[in-house]
Amino acid sequence: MAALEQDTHLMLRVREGDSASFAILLERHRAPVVHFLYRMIQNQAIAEELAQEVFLRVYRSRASYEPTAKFTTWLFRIATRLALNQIRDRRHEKGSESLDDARQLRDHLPTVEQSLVREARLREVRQAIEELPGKQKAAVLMHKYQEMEYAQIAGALDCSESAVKSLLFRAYETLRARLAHMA
Amino acid sequence: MRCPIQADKPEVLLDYCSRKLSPEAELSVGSHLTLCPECMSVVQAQWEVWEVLNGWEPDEVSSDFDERLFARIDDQRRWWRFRTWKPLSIAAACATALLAALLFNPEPAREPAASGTAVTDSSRIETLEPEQLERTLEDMEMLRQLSGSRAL
Repeated sequence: MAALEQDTHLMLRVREGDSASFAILLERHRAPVVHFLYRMIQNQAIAEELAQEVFLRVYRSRASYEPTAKFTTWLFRIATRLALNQIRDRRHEKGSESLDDARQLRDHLPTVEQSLVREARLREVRQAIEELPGKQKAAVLMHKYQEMEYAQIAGALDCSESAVKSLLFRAYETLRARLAHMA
Repeated sequence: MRCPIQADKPEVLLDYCSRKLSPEAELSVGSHLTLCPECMSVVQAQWEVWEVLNGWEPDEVSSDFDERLFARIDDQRRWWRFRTWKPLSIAAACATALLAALLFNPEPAREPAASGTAVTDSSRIETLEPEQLERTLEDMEMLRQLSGSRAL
């Protein structure tokens, strides 16, 4: 909790022109943002490009930064918007497939039956996440991997807490059904 | 009849799975699960989903991520400086040109009019003007070059 509170103080120092504080924030949040975007987009290269855009926007708006919410809420709000825009734009492109799935399968060639089953289930769940509506997907990823509270997710998605609970309920219900279908 | 937890507060099961409930609430839900196969099924399925998601490990971030980001930030700074300085440098160039025109084009001395003098004055003025213009243009070009190198 102390580290999260420090994020705000660091960002206020960035507002005053302290580049070293920006570097600390980048070090702290680089991986979580990239990983979140990767799981949203399921393409590593695009995820890194979008993550760069996230931090670029944080830096560009440093002069007008106001600590009205947690820094991570703001950060993931930017990341979610960029991801949802990317997903929306990609829908219009034909034949755009992520190479990551093929690469992961090749890199993790199963050698025993358990590995096969595990990979198949992961592939199924990843596919199910890929097919979730944008906000449900974002809510699940923030809830599961960033361990964000409902209020934080609501801030990032710009909706109410009850809406977040509804999003999560429907998303997880879909994922559970997908796995049950495989059983 | 549907279980009241699933009907009214399904997120309670989610919070139970992620151990976010208070100890008392966790105990209460735990007791409920022993009596409600529907909720138990949901909890077990949710644990299964999370176990699978735990295996979804993303790649490491590229080692040159920061380098690329700071390069983009520098590009932004340069563009912003050019955008800010360009109108200022043009304004400064114009002001300097105006000043130069005033300095190199002093007011001609008033002489009593005499026959033939007007023609001489006019030709003198006509001779001077192109030189003044050329010098002013050279000054502006020099200032533009100076401003361009400063912006970088």
